[in-house]
Amino acid sequence: MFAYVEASALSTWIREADTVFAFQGILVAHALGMGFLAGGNAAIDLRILGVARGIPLPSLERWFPVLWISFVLSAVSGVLLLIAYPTKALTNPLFHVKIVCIALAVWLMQVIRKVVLRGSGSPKGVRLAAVSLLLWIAIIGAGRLLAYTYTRLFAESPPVGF
Amino acid sequence: MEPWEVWVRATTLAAFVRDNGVWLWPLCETLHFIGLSLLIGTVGFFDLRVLGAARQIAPVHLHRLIPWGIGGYLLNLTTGTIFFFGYPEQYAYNRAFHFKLAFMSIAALNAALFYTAAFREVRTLGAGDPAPLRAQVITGISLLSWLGVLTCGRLLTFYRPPFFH
Repeated sequence: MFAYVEASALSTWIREADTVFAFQGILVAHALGMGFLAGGNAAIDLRILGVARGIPLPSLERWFPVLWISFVLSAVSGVLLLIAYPTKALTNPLFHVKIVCIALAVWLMQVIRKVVLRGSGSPKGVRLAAVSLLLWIAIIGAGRLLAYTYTRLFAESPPVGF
Repeated sequence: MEPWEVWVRATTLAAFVRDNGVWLWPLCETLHFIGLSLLIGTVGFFDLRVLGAARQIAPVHLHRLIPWGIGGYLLNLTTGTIFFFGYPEQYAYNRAFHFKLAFMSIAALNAALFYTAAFREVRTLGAGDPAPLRAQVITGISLLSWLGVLTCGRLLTFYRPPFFH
């Protein structure tokens, strides 16, 4: 299955095309998406934790279109990177940890919207925001460490020695 | 090797980075990504508000988050200095790094321009108020220059010189 994906035209193009719009451009898109998605969520979490109290909590809902566009940018670029290197990602337990953390963080983003931003002053808000912040830090850390922790690059290649 | 590089390589910091790269490098990379996210999430979103997004939030309130963006930026200056001292030639002779420094300079000059020429008007804006054109132009340049910094930073690794000193 991994070998089939790795041999596909799209996978090969992302890895090998001699243009900045292939692998390099996808990495840039993934980093930009991360900056707006993790950063925007962190800003909302900080407000809930007591920074910039002048911002009315309900008004923060206005940022959700930006957060969702950033999520789509990150997710699409992430799927393309996964198509380029499926073995490298999916044989690494840390990748699965990252995906679970992303699912939790995006679900929490919606919970915060419904419970904290719409129902101003929920006492649960502070705890939810703190967990959200920690999840985004974990996602960034896991994502960065993927480059150091993989054990197999391709389906057909032997394990990498560390 | 140029004299500046001889000096950089003789520092305690350079030796520390090279001796502890195994854990220090991934840690600093992670902190660098966290710092850039803080910067985009505060300064970037402030710029977007002045440009017309989420107008229901008064810019003066959003501005209270800016110190966290400055904190992220200082974190990145620190981790960036650690990277540079570890392998100075990999940055000094790297086209992407030159562009990154250029975008950083534009962002810095532009921030100074914002606080001298636009902030007085922007801080009086209430919820729903559109920002004057001058403030929009300046924050537009801010947003684009930070995106330029991020883009060049992510591309650094592909433009490294083919030699190590």
